[in-house]
Amino acid sequence: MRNGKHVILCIDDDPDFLDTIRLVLETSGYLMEEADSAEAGLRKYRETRPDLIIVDLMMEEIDSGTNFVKELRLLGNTAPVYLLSSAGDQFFMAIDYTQLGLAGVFQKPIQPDILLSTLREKLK
Amino acid sequence: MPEQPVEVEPTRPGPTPEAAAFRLPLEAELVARVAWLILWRWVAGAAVILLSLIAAQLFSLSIPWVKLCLIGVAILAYNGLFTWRLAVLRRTGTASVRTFSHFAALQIVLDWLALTLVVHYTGGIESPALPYFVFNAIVASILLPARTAFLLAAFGVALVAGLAWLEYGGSLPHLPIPELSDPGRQGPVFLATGLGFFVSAILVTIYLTSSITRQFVRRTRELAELKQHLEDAYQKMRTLYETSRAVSSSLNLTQVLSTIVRQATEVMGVKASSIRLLDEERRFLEVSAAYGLSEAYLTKGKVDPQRGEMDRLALQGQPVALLDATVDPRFQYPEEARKEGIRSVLSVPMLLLDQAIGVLRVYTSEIRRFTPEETEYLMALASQGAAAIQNARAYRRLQELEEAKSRFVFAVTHELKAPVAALQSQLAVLQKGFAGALTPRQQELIDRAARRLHRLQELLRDLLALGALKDRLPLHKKTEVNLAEVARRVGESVQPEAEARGLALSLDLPETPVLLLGTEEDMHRLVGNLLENAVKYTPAGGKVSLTLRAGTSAITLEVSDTGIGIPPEAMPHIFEEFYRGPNAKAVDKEGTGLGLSLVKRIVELYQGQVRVDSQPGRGTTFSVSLPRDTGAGLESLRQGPTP
Repeated sequence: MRNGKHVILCIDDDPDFLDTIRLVLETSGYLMEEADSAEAGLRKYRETRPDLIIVDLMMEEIDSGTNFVKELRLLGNTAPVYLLSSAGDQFFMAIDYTQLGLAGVFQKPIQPDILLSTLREKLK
Repeated sequence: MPEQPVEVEPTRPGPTPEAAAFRLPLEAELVARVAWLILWRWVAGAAVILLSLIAAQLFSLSIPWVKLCLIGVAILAYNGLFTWRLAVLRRTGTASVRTFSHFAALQIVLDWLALTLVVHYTGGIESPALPYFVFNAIVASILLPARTAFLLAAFGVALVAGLAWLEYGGSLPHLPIPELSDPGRQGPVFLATGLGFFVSAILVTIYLTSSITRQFVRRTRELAELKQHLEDAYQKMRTLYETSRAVSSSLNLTQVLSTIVRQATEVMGVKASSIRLLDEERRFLEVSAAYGLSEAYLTKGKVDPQRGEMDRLALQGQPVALLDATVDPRFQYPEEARKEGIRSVLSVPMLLLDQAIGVLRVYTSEIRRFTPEETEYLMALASQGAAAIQNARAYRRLQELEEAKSRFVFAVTHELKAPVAALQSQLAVLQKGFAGALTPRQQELIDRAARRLHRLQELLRDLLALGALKDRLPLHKKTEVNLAEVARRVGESVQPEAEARGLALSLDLPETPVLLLGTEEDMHRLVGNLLENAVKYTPAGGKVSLTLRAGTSAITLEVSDTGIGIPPEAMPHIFEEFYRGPNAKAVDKEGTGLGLSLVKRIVELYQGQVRVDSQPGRGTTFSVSLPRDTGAGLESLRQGPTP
């Protein structure tokens, strides 16, 4: 929480996608922090201590998203983590979502209604 | 005909033919006729006794019948000894043709001695039994070597002439049969004439018969050799055929080349064979397959065609034979060849489109001149090897191409997906008014853009799926998938669309789980594509049904609709990528044309079958049958064929 608003950390290597999410989140009363790689995301995490994290599954490397989630757990993270995934990603890797301790998965393209209702539910 | 017959060498692998087993037909005849002679001698012995008794008792001829009967008994007695001897020879089974010749000659000698006695007691040179000498003369000249036959003839003539001389000189009594005696047939003139005719008859018989027989022997020998050559040729043809079959049916190059060197060694009866192929720079010859050569010899060093004239010539396209590789300057490693026990070497080119890619060599352990037929055979084997190499190389290239294509499809679709997803997200945000309210016109345009993007996203998704199914990408762990559960979920997800279109969707699924080893994605895609198609192409008021049945060996999935159907001309193409039937395009402009390609690919991956029954305007039924236990098959398909 910062200034009474929940802080959401979004990690994706597509700046257009980040801008779009930012528009949805900020017009809906959230603060957004962003990073364009798993490494930058971990740095940002330490700096900002977000209330919720959304990370893209496929960035510079095929499994950078899942590695990021594992790193977060080692840092003792308790904030809910959501994975961003595109249709077809499952062909390239087998992801055991429950093992990673994920709160859930958002499908790309993002649907603002679903995104917002999920956040509202999780961050009551 | 080769200059010299293929000799049987001690080094030749496989069973060596028994020395006694192979006989020319006439030699085999000799062995059989020895028994036949013995059989007839029983008759002859009995006949001497019987005829003597008849002549003396019935016809009252004045002959010394007791002595004649004793001669008959003697014939039967020594024939008994011959019977025993033959049984011994046959039992041991190793007797040579020579032994049988001697045996036959001995019989003839004894027969003639007996016959001479009979002749003596029945009138000497006047005896009616005298012409019987001819029988054994014929037998001798046919069965025995000409020299032996003439020696025997001389012996027979000496016996008769001696008898006549002794009788004439009075040393032996002349015993004519009075009842048959003709006074004109006595005296020195008759004796000389009778003897002269007898001698010439015997000698001419021997000469005529043995010269005709010699021709027969030569002919049969030629025939036997011809047969041997035919068998050799057949053996070579058969191995060539087998090699060509192996070449066309196997893409395993190592295996094919090993077969070729083994066959070259065995069929040509040589010590060893090897195939050496030029390396990438076409500089050195490297061993690709070898048979019968030691590891030390194979690793002796690089074969440099620039230094060994034999291989340089072979690589220019001509066969090269070295009589003795240990001293021939054209051989690069004479010392190693000596240590390996190699003497003669034949090296032939392996030609691919007139260019040599390597050589096929055979090595012998003794000096040997290779015949033109052998060289030809080796050339044929070498060309089979070249064909195998070409096949394997083409197959490898094809595989690389296929993999490159799959990687390309994946990279392209993946790169396309990210911007489309970003665009879609942006449009969704605009549509929902996060960037401010939209005018109705703006709203409409953005909705249309979003719809088009949605189709594009579906196309990319299907392309990616197809690429992933074709490629051997790491996949979800195979688990037991409950196909009934997957079908139920797919049915539920399609239900709203079916209702919106005014269709009756019915699911007929077993209560119990229908388990299959595989991935849920594959099954979801399989059922989803079939059911979505049925809903999409069935007009309002129609029916769509999904039936799942689990048999003992196979699972059957059936999706039936009362839709527009598939025109017969479209039927052969419906599983092709991007193909869409003309009536399908009329109903839905934006389908990807990949749905059924995915269905087919998945069914193939699970080693199942898909069948379509359709009547245009009446409806379509897709029946998919999947074998229950496809675990092993699935694994092998995922890994692809072994090169």
